[in-house]
Amino acid sequence: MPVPSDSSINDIERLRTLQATGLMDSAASETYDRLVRLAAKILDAPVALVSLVDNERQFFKGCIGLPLDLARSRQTPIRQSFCRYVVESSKPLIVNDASLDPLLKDHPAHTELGVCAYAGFPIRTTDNEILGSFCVLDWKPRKWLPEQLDILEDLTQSVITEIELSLALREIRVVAAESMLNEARTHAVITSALDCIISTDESGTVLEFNPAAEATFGYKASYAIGKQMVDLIVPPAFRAAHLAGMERYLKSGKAHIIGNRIEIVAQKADGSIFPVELALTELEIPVRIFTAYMRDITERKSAAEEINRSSAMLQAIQKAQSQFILDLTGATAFEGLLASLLSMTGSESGFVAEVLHSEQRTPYLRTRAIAGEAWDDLCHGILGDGRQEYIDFGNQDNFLGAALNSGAPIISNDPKSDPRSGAHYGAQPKIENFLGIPFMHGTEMVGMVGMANRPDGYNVGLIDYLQPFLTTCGNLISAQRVREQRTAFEERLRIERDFKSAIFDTATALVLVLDSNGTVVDFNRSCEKMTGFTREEVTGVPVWATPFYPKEDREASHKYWTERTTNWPPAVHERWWISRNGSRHLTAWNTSIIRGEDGKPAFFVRCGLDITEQRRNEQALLQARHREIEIGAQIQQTLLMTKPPEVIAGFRTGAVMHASQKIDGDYIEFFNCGNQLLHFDFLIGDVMGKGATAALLGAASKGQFQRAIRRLIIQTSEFGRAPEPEEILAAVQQVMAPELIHLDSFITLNYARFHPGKRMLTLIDCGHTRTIHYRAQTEEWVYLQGNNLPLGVLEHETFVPLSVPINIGDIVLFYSDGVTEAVNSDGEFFGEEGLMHTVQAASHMPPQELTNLVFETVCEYTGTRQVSDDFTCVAFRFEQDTSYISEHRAAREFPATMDSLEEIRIFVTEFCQKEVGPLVEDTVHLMVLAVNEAITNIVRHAYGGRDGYHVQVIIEAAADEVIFYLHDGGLPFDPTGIPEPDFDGGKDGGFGLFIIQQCMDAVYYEHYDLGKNCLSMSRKIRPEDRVGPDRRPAVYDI
Amino acid sequence: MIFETVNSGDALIIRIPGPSLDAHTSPEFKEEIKPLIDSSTQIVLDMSGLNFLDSSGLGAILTCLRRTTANGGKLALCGMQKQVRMLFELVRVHTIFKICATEDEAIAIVASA
Repeated sequence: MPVPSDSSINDIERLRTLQATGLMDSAASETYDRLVRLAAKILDAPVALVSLVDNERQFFKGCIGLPLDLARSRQTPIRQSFCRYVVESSKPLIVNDASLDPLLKDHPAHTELGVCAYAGFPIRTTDNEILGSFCVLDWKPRKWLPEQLDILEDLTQSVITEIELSLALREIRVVAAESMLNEARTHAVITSALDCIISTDESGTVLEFNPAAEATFGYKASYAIGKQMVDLIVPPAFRAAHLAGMERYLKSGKAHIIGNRIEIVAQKADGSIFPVELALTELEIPVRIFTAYMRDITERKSAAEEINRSSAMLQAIQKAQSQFILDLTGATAFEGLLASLLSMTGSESGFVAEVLHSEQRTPYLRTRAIAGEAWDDLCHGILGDGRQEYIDFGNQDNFLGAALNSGAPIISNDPKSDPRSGAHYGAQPKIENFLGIPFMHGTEMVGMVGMANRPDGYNVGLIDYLQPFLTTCGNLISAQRVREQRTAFEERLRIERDFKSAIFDTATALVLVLDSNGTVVDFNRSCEKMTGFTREEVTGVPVWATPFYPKEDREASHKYWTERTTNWPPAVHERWWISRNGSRHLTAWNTSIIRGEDGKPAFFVRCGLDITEQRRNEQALLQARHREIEIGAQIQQTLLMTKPPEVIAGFRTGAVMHASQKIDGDYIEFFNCGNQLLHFDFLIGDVMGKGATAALLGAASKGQFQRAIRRLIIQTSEFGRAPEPEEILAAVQQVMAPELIHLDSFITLNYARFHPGKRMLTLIDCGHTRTIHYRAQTEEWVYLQGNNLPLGVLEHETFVPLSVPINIGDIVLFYSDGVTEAVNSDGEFFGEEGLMHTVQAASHMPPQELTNLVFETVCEYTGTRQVSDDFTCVAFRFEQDTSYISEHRAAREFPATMDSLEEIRIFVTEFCQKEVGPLVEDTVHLMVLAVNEAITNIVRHAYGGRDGYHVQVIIEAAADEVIFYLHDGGLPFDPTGIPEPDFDGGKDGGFGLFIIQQCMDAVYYEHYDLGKNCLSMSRKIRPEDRVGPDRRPAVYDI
Repeated sequence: MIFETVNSGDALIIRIPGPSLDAHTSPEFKEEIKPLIDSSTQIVLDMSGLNFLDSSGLGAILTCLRRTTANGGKLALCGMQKQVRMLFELVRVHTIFKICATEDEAIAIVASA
């Protein structure tokens, strides 16, 4: 019976924590009700409670089985509380019969409420505050069994996990609400002024990638976070410079861009490069975080660039005009070309023509130059006496038409009998022979040269010879066309310029113009609006003497303007301005210089923005982010990292776990699937993502594993076996996968079942880092890798376990990617190879030293003891030192006949008495009976009574348990599937399995692939089973 | 298998040969005890020589009970060792047998009307 201490129930910190959970007087929740139902069921108790105790009452957050009045009020005054003793003593309270307890027999809980038996465990937070008791109670005397109490204690842990989660969630909600408030207030600023927000850590790894950044850059935040920013958004050509700048800054603290607002170019996911305006800030608590605020200024930029480009083109045109085409039609150039053509080919007549298209898209030719006798009549016929600038040839049914339509040169040395010549030219007696060559500019047919009456006629060789000439013709025709387009473009540009100046005049930007002495010469409407001072009040005043200039900056400014010789004002700077009504505005300025005719600066034109709200918002966001990170770290340390026991079921463990400041969501946990057989489960997981979300997902998934195991134990215990790892994974997957998919996250994990009795390690590897296994027998190190997908990738998956034998001396090493992805100064990963190399030399080391060695080696590699990712490394060495002793094992093979029964009984009896005992004879008899029945089944059913087969009997003794393994090669026969026998004597068979289950604590059947049946049976050896004094530690009796 | 029997009044006392009645020995036991069971309606099975009984052996004893009952007779057990008794209780058949501490008590029970 605990002695109530007077202080702890009134402890202020404890009451405050209890209040912070928000659970007092909160509505009933399925989570807690499920836990109490489970406790009541497992302990076969009428009532179970999650009882939270403050200084006046106990409140039941979860309850089952209470009388109606209590079930309604869900609380009692403190005087009726047994749970207060759990809180005050910080220890479990186990009462078998309150009426026999001198201190409790008169307690109101007993006398008024009728509580007779009670078992409660403290609900202890990680801050060591005890909030209440998780308890079961009965109205009649009870003897609580140790294994029931074990389970109650385990369930208490689940209650605690839930409470911790609600504490963490409340805090996050508070932060989220604050940050949302900030966001709403400055929503307009954030969307209009600054679009993309990207945060990185010191190494350039992206921590934050907001929706605007997603839209602008084309990456999903889930993809971008964790990547190097330089690889995502910096164009390849600038990456080296970016990294060098970053490195220089980290070393020297000298920044070119931090704190400034600059324009640079960035790259999108599709590879396109575009200009951005960038503001970069740095926060240095608790780690350095850089936040870039970026805005796509393509629109603004391209307008400016267009003006530059077009003026360059105009210059080029002027040059081209003076060089090639002196008049509008280019006639001089074309006539010169035609003259060359005729002389080069020795033709009598010829023309150079451009291909144009009618409105009906029909091509026709318009001459740029024409000469020679052959066309004289024609020319005169069409042109008459007045000189025209050109002739159009639109006939499709002659040489020209044929060439126009085919695009191919035409040679005709006998036009009169050539059908292509057409009526028109065929009738033209002056043409003796003819060559027409269309010419191209790029892929477009832009013109044609035609020539006639060469003394030797025309040939293909001539066409080749003329190619350079034709190219020139093509260029000239195109240049002619471009010039016409240019005129149209200039017209458009003029309109645009007018438009831009209209925008500028009505701009909301602040515009301040100073002369070379720093005197205000202009002060635009926006400045007036912001400051409340008028243009008249400030013009002619030196800027440092203006009423809006902050007093503290005046002296420096005055000094700057009076002493300045060649140092011009910085192009970009920020300054506080004070308005007439005293409000302070942070303004960001960009200065351009207008020089006088002497080349010296005459005016400084400053364009600015009021960034007060924006800056406030940036700060608020940074604060919120910082707090989220802190909370995440807290969750990680309290909920995610379970310190492994030093020795578990014959395995010595070692672990190094360091949480990085970023919280990657690494977690580990140990599970005990019901104490049934001698095995334990280990889980290592890594949630994709960072921060509080990752940490919470990690905690949630741990909770889901706990729940799945509890639920499955109840289902499978009916069949005398433990839940299989793949069943556990499937149950967790069912609950978690839709959530994870919804949150765009996933978890890589490795679920391991260590089964020392069977010398077996079973892994379900869901995309986690490869496990390393040292096989002592062969002295080799190998990787173990399964092929399941991470949790949350698919909604439904079948998990495939990987089983490997393990033996004494074997080491199994689990780790997170924080180990292998540790980076050295050259940016290289430590890698699997680095890890393997490290451990290979250390197979002799105890596991703790081994994991320490891994950590030290990685620190040396990275040159820092600050881990940048969560670092988790857990090693197991199969030692069998305390709980499992190798001599306590016997194996013998017997012929699988009924003849062997007697011999097997002797074998079992002797082992139990010599290796486990001395034991009470009845206990031994029960175990002998069970083995006898199991062998009978094997002979009768697995082998069907056939001779010549064998059965292997293996017995192992643990500290408090005996395990029997019966192996046979017969038909798969699962005795655990047989129905219960008939007890009224109507049948004389079917008792075998019933007897086995009565005699043993757990029965477990497996059929292995190679045709082997394995029936495992275990019986706990309780103190009363032993001959001699009860050596049980007196824990449960108070 | 040799059964030692003793007649006491109308009752037939059959001493079950030990030390064990299990899946190995019970088929023969069942076969050979039949004529003895049929020879009387007052059967006492003396189990004092038996220190191991399994479910097959128990099945054989149950067969004896059913056969005697079918013959309109009575059957009682005596001389049961503690661990044999454990099995009876384990499978809850102790309630359907007349289990007596001594041979005389058993004779009295099977002889009663």
